[in-house]
Amino acid sequence: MANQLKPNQKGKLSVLQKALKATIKGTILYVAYFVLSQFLSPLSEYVPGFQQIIETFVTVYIILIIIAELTSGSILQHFFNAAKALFIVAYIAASLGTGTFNLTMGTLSFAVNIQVFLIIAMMLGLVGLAKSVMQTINYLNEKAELALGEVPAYT
Amino acid sequence: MNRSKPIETPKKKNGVTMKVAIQMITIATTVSWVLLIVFAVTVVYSMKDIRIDWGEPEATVTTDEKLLLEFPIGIVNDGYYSLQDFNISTQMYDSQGALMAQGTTFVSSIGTGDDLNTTHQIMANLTDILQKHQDLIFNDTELQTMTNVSMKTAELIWFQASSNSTFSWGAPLYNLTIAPPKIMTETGTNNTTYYRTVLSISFENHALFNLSGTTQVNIFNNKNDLITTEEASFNVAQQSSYQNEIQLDTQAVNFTSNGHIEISFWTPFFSYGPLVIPYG
Repeated sequence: MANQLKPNQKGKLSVLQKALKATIKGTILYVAYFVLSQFLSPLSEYVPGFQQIIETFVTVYIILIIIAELTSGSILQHFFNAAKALFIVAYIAASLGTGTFNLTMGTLSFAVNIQVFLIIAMMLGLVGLAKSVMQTINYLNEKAELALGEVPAYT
Repeated sequence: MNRSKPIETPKKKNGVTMKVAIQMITIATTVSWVLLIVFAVTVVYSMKDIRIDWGEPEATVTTDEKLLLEFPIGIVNDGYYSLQDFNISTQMYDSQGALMAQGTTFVSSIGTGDDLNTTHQIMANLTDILQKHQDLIFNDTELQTMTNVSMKTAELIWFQASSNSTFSWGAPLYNLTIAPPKIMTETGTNNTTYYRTVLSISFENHALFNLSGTTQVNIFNNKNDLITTEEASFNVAQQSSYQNEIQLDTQAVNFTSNGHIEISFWTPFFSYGPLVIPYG
């Protein structure tokens, strides 16, 4: 048939689709970050390094999302998904520490305790990690099933 | 060699179940993350719409002679979340860092859009303070105060702000001046000679309260015998000056060319003295 694609054309289209999907996801995330950062800007004025913490997190997270998307359909995607989930947990633990912040400005000193928020965020990160593990198991399961289905049976 | 149909096992069904479970987890975590991030951002953003206004303190003296400082406080919560356990505590310290007075104001909940007016009270036991820190009777000073404001927003995030400031203490007997006694010889109606001692006392009441009390003056001769005593009452409004001359008449027979004068002050808040001034 004339409109049927050759295998190498199919591959090119698949890569293009993945790249497009990765671009869209990255763009949406960056736009969301850009909008939210406008609300967080008052805090950035008072907390030194806050903007940098958020920027580093968003940059690494978007990179991991793009890589995971580009490697979708392979086992690597699940590695990057797991890495993404682990990164969230590790980054929250490393940057927020005990969840108590102190800031001194002249004769004024501020303390903020966000421990409950921190626990919720880390729990969500762990659920994300568990999801990645489940996705990997499912992927391997499907692979195994496919391989089993393709085994020629002799009668 | 015949190729048979792919072997169908119950695992296929398990795979579908797992996919559904993964999708459900994905949706749940995505929704949770979005809610958590939106919540965090709105909490931070709404903090700028919380305003606490401190007014000038009003000082009153209670019936049990305690100084009550009342700070009018206006709390405006125009943020997105209510505030819980709103607490203001103030401690006032002397120059040695010892606690002199303290006060606490607690508001259990301030809803969104609420405009709450309250007073923050600091109670100070003047009698104890002025007996313990007698320099505060005569010297204006800046007392160190530590103010803590703590609150919980959206039942989740705890916030505290602390501030060091000073409180201007006004001395009730500021610039107390007792002029050297003037001793004059006077002649009485029946030609008896007596000595008149004139003592000039002045001070400024810089305190936050009106001061009333008594000045007692005793004159002793060189044998340490009390030869004359006199009391003068005073009533000085806050931020006012006081000046008085106290006259003491002594019979010539008891008077000696030298001796000493003792001056004591008695007020509801403190007693001070005797101040000893030699004469002659």
